[in-house]
Amino acid sequence: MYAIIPLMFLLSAISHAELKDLTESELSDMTGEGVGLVYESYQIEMLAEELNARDDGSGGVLAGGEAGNKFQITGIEDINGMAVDTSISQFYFAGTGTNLGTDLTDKLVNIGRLNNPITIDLKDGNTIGNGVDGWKDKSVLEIAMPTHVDLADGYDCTALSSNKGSGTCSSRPSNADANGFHGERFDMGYRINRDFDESTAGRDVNLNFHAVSAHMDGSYMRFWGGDADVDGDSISDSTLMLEAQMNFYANELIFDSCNLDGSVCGEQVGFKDFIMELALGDAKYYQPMTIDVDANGFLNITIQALPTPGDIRTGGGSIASDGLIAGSDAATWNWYDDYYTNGRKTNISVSDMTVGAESFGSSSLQGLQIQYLEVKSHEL
Amino acid sequence: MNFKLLTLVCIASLLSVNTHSLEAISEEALDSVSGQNGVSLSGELSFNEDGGPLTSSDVGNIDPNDASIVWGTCTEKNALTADRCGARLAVKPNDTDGWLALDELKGSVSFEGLTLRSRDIASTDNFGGDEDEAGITGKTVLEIGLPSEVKFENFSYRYVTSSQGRPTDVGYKEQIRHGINFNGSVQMQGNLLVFPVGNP
Repeated sequence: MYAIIPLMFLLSAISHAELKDLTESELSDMTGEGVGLVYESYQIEMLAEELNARDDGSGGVLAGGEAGNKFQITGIEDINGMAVDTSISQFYFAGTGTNLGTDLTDKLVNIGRLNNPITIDLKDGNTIGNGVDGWKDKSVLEIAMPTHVDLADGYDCTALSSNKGSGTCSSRPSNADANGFHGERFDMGYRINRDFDESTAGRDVNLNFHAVSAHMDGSYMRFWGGDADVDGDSISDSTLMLEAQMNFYANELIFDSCNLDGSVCGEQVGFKDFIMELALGDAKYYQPMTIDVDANGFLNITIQALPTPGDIRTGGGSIASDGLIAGSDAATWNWYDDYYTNGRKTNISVSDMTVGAESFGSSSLQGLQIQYLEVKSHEL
Repeated sequence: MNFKLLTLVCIASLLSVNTHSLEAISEEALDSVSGQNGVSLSGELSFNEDGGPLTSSDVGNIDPNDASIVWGTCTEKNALTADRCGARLAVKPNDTDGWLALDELKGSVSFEGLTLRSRDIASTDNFGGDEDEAGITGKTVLEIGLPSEVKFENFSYRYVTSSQGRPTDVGYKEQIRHGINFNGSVQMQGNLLVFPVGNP
């Protein structure tokens, strides 16, 4: 990237742009603005020199990457402390129809639409919230994927093909409304090899993951600063705060495992019509997510606890033991009622889980609301 | 082409521009002048391939916990006479002690055919019909044409979480989350379009 800097100087030195005064009316149109990003006709692939045979049941062998291509993931050790040679044999991110990453030719994808792009923006917390909640007086950096839209303008979130008016997703499947366009949904996947050292020969494994016709509409990450106890010592610390909405929709997710040369593969485990809408942190109700590293270097990720009754932020009143509004402080009761009604919730659903030819039917998790979460890493 | 060479080429071409005699330009003539649209870049970035600025004999380059030498050349690291080689980039997410760091960052990345130009969205473009919407036809965007190939050579880092900022601090402890060591080329195609979006 440093190469760009001298070129910029060069361009600025030899260009002859004319500067004009802005009129009053032009100036009044100016606003502080964020940045919109659209990936147009995009595709990326990492391909190791040694690659498994394809695992899509069609036989044949994927051509390997260029000589010397090896993408290692380091820092993984086995139980004896020996390094495990883990490497990405293929990573692909492309348009739909790749047949699990085996045919990327002309499989292109747009990420974001010109009328609904990926955005990087600074937001006013008083606009995100109502000015008296957890967003009060915060300046928030937001990185967001394309948003959900009205049903009349959107597309079914997981179907391989659908037309306008079939759902709330902005990203379109391939050939939506018969427009012949490759759309905004992608195929992506990894094939990862784990090669243990010789003393544990025979345990080498390969793990493959593929997402078919996927997108991340409605996802965002928000960052801001504030005070919260991040290390459990009951003292507030100045800290980076986060709120994340991690959405992932796919027509199908597929996992399987093969031996290292790919000649023998196990059954495919499939999740059809996969919907994940993960809500991490809820700043409106004083539950940001925080990150801390302790004195031994272990990571600690916390979603701050929901304020308890009596806390001034909930109205300061109490809740009756029967939980009814009759014996409770009305303002506090309404605060919790609002939290349980409108607070951010996690949903995960699958229309059909399959193992090989067996079907295990649908499963879903709806309306999970996190009151407190603490995740710590430990040494094995 | 490495960074220094590229800088030199740029300066040389700048000088060549300035060797022409300078003449006054009229208002009318200035109206017809426009900046050239577009540039194509290729480049290579190599950093800390052999280690870093600290040598194993520098004062203070000692781990107070086990008296070993902390930073050295990668040759010294391979010979186990120094603990680390490469750059360290550390971030502290709050006012407690903990740090998130990319450690032993080193290697080389090169690319060819990165283009930059300004582009007006026209109805002849294909965005699945979006290009014909009012406000989008004629919209000016910055188009970054992504390089068709990005090459990594011994590009590696370790992502660690640590109790202190520097490995030379007393009581320093770290946990390795993961690391990478990339060799080879990544194939890519497409453009990244960048434009302002309104949100006061």
